[in-house]
Amino acid sequence: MPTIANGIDVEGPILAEVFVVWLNTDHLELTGPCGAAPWMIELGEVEHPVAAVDRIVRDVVGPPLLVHSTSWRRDHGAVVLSFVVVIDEELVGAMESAPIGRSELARSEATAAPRSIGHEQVIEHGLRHMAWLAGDDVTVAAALSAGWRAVLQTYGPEPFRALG
Amino acid sequence: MTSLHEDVVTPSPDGELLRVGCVCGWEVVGSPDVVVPAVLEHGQKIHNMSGTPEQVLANAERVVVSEAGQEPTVRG
Repeated sequence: MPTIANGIDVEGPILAEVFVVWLNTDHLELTGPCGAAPWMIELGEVEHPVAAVDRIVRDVVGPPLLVHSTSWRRDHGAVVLSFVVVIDEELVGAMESAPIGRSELARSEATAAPRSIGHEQVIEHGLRHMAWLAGDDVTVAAALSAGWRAVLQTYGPEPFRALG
Repeated sequence: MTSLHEDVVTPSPDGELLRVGCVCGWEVVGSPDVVVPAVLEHGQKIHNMSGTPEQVLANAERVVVSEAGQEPTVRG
């Protein structure tokens, strides 16, 4: 298990980057215990990453509707696993929240990772992935409300964009 | 639910304070009795990190309030 050093600077060989997202009427917002920002969690050697994220979200925020692993990258000297966690509106409470804007994706080269990836690009990728799953995966579709699925329709895939 | 952006300021009798900040914006300022458990709880609960009181004390910033009402200064 990583240890606290240099004040608190979340570190370790594997990190989870959690985007806690909720539907505010007709648009998606980012929230979480660290504000409207990615929530970094260290992952241990034993517990499955999805189980760890689910457990910690339940403990700190409340029961999530969906825990979705979206992507990974190398950053902060670690392998960072990104998650979109969907929560109900009633769990937001006093946590900071901000609307999620749209972003260009960070695209890979044919055999190389993108040169830089911002967290806005990570969540854009995650929501596009969820949009696809909402129409393809019965579990994801069942976990999301009609309002959620309607918003995700604006995150549809653009299959030929990277080839233009 | 836990609100993490909280500041706890409890100076010790000699005016020395410790300060520890987190990458997520959370910060605690106060005497060692306040700062150490707060940092350990924040690290474990929010970031799944473990640590020891000695590690917290070794890495905390020392802050001195020279006179009442003045801004504290960081000693590093």
